[in-house]
Amino acid sequence: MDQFDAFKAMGEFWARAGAGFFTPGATPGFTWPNAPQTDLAGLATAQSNLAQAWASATALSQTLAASVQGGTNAADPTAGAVLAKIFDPQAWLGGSAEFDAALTRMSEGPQLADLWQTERRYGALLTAWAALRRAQAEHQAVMLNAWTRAAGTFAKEANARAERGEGFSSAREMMTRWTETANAVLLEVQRSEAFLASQRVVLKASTDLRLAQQDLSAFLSDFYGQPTRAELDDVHKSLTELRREVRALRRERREAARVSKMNGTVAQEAESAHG
Amino acid sequence: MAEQDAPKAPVPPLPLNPAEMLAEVADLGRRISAGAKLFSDVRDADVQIATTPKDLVWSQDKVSLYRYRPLAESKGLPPVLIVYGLIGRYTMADLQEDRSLVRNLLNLGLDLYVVDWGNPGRADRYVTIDDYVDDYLAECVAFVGAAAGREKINLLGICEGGVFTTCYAALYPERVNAMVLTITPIDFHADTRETRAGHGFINVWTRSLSPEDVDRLIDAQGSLPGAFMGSVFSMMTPMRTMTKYNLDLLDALDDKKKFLNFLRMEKWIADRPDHPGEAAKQWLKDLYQDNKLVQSTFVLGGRTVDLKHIACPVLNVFAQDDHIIPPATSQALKDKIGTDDYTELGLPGGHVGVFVGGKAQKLLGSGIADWLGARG
Repeated sequence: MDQFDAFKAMGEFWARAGAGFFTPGATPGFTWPNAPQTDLAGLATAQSNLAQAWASATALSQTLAASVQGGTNAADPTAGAVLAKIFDPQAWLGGSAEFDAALTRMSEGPQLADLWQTERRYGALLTAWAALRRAQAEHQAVMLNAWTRAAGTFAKEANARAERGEGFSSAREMMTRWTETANAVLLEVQRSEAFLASQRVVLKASTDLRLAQQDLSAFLSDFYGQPTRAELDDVHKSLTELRREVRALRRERREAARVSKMNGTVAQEAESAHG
Repeated sequence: MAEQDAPKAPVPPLPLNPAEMLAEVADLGRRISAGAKLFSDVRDADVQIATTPKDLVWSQDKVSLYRYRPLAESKGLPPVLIVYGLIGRYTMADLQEDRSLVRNLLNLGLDLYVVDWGNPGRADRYVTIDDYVDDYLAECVAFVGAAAGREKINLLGICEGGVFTTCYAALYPERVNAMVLTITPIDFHADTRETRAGHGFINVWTRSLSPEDVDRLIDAQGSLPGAFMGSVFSMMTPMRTMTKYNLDLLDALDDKKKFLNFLRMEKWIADRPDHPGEAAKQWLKDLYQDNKLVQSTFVLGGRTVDLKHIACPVLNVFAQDDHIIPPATSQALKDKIGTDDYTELGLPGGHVGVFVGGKAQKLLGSGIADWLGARG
């Protein structure tokens, strides 16, 4: 199964599974208390769009890698592998994925497997999770379009060079040129409305997921008699305020000592002058 | 758009010589092999950073004040307090022995202190910039002044630390003899005056968020996580980020010294503390979004930070290729302060390069020492 089919199948699987899960009566003996509406269809659409962008980018990547090494009959498989890696759009996604991964790490807390009494919160959590995955898929589609644009620009230049019989003097020169071309496109894309908007949605979705997790965690902490995050925050807030007061009191005491010392010195000088 | 740019037919082969390609691949293998040996030979001691000897002289909560041991005869000038920000750590000013602003200044006879904000955690969520400027920094200045027997000392602010010293100098002008700012943003919207590709992305990105986005992010995280800011910085040099651990590292492997420099820099980058939540809200909303500092409407401790109250001489150092703090955002200070003794020093290099770049870091040290020497 290629990347396109894998993405498509995964999207359909989640949509089917999610729809079944949330359909009243689909699971015998089970009902959702105020089950939230989870936009799994939206997630599937976003993944499908991403899959199409991915298929297009992959085809172009393979064309580029094959052509720059002299066609598919090139003798050196290592060089081929290196070049394929260089033009792999996955690497490009990896760049933006670092941001996504940072958000994911921030939003995904510990797995709490035995919390079966909290269905409503789990539902909210799943909704938030689906929203984040959808937002990430939409953002990745923006990045893949950018990659395709950069690769197209590079291919045009490479073709023009080939037609002039110039070529690249070394694989390194070719890589440098690709890096420069791609960098210029990426920097431009990062300032585009589409990029900033989709990234903002990813940030908001990851924050919502984190808050949904905290809500679940707070419910359980309270249930089991453990301090909640909000209670700890209250303690920390009080501690910060108390520290502020202590620092202010210390400053006042030091200032009073300084003034007292100054007054003492002035009085002593006055006494000496009169005495 | 993408479809228009994509090739319509298979791209014809480029005239790359297979023999040359093979030779390059063979060379690659040799370098990877040599690099693997270098990696195995390197010890922690080889990549220590911030090694200039110093002593802890004061601390409160998580904040520590250090005094560097002298390396040359004192010039008798007021002491200098180095103030870094909460994004990254002060160790950048003392990255390695031959690339150290700290050593350069000590060798020029300055009495040097540095404040270390420590590693704020979730428990520090409610610590504000007011606390850092009005309390911690003010206490550090008081300590340094008392130790030197002087009412006024010199401040050297770096990046966000420069914003802290700027606020301090406006609120406590009677305590500052002279202030050096390096790569410090003053007008957070001045990036729009320059159109250099890739410059000022943080400004653009922060403005793309709503104040509520920032509030919810901090509510959810309790801080602005250092790793998160690291990923935003990585986005500013997208292809560099992708080639850093392959092509760039391979280049560094040819030269042990270069390789160790690379690792020291990695060490500094990896040491990125979380930014306390409430202070991060002020940083992102009041400054990056609402641009209150340059408008003299930023309020700390119930007092407005009026830049016109800065009465001390100011040396404003910026990096000519700074993509994080574009020069215009720093240079905006020029006509905003209450002194005519204002000097600008534009140095070659980027945000970090100005401190560790071979040429710039030497110019930086001597430039600061000479300027302070004339204002002792």
